[in-house]
Amino acid sequence: MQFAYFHLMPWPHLPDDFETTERSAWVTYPNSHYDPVLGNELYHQYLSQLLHAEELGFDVISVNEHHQTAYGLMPSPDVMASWLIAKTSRARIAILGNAIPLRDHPMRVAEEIAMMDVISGGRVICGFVRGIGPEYHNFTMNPAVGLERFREAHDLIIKAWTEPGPFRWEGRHYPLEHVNPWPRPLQQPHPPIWVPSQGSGETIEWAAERHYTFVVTFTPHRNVVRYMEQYREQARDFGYEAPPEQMAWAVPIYVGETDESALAEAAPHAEYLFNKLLKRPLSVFFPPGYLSEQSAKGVLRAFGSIGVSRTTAEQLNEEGQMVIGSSESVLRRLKEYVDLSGIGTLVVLLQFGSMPHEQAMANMDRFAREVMPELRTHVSAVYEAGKA
Amino acid sequence: MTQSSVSTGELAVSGSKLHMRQAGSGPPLLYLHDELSSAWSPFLELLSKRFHVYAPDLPGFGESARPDWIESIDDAAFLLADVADALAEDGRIAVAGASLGGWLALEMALRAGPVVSRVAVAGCPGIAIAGDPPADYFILTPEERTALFFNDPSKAPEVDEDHMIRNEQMTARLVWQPRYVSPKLGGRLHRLRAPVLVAWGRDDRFLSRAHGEALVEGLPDAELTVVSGSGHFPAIEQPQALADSFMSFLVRS
Repeated sequence: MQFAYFHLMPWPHLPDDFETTERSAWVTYPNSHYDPVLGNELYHQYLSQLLHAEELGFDVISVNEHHQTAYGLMPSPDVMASWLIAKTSRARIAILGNAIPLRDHPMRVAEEIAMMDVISGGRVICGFVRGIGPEYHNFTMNPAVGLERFREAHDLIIKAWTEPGPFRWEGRHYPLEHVNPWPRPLQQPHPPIWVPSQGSGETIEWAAERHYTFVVTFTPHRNVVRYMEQYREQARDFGYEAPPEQMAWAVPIYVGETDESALAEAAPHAEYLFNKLLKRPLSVFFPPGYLSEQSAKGVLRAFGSIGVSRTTAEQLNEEGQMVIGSSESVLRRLKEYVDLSGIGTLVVLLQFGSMPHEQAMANMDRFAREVMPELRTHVSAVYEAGKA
Repeated sequence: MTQSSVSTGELAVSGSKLHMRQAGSGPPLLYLHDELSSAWSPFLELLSKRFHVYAPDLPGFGESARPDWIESIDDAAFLLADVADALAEDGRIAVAGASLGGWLALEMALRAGPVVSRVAVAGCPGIAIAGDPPADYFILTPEERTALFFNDPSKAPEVDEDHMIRNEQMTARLVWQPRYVSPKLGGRLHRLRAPVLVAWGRDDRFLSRAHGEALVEGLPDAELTVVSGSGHFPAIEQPQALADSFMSFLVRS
């Protein structure tokens, strides 16, 4: 198993009555509620958590991209990653971003990732995402062409990294006379690619075909198992066995003294994340055209127009959407989940919602000391003889 | 109201196919539906007393497929110009439209030339007015939209789920950016030679009447009429009053 420490950098100061007074923490929540002085302190706390993860032996530290929201304060993951590169020496830095269709031109991403890869001595892991629905409300891009732009931006970036320039790109969205980026990445043929997803079949196929690490985010565990089975199947269709590291699960985890105390300590922050930060009318989260007609119908049937309903930490924990408990429980459950899903990369969120710095650091220490060492050598039952 | 016989079929133009309803007798009238629904309606029933009404599902809406090349208002306007050519009698056809369909009627008439005899539109977006945009259709929940669009929310059309999703997706494809306007339209209006009637719901909260006034000011031959007792969709809230205005305007020669 390899371990990535993941951060969303949430704004933890939403008011108690947020759920009744505001539509969503996305797109329209007034930025007058952002306090830059508190923001300064917060960035340094969150960044110190990311640096602490390297000290604790995480293989990867990972940053994220979201725009114009209290959900996460990293609109530029590249800014965060370059800060971390300067302050770390061993850990790989995963950038999950970049939302390539939201950029005016993907060559900027090709250039910035290559710069960071060269500066870091080849420690960069490059994520590619489409950007989520709310971000299409904040940028000019039409959600109906987001997927097309994503695919073309990806193809252009990979070609720019792997084929000698200058060449001409005859694309539909990014036609370009001269593609010739300096610098080129240090890692050859290019930095490893991770693809965060909520499990769309198209993305699973696309990632498996290219041997990209598929990262399932915020999903009840029974779905994680299903998506990973699909990924392995797809990989076989493309003629190879997917190595476990290529399958990753992103999950918020809280390790306490006992199951009861862990749940009590984690609950306000878990519920802050899912009920406040993720409160979402469907019109905000799935602008028309973002999903295919078929998927849009499914989402509408599942949620109605008001979006997801309130949830509790207990429910999230039971569904395996979060893992909360004593170190023994967390270890046992993670082994069980790894056995069922076959993942070889665990992307853990140890600060979530409104969790204060000291509590997050203590959670990190307990996870690294009491869970990670034994889990590291655990091999999924999926890969025992005859099962793969 | 006695229902005339509405026939349904496919119209093939310039390599594309549109699902189309038609009814009535008289001179041809091409009707371009709004973003909510392409269904036959009491309003169209009234128009069909005086006209042979052709009501295609716009490309990507209702039962009509989206040809790959239709990505913008401009593209759709060119396809609809071919539709006007195909349906004209003696080289002439009147055109009407509501909301998005009204905008497309104007854009089409600009490109189609003299085949378009007269144009009647209601609640027509498209003109950019600084500081006075349409409400953001796409961020509103369905319930918020209904409250914004209609004086009487019970008038909101029932649209089946498949069509609702398709209509909304295609609307977004056409008007997402810039949002519900064409910055070029104002500078082109002087080229529209056909007389235009611009109708506006008195209580339109989606799109201010200033947009209608700007159209009338920019068009060489246009007049504005205000429909009482209606929000953004007078064809739905006041079908008789709007049909009377449209017909008396469209039959003038």
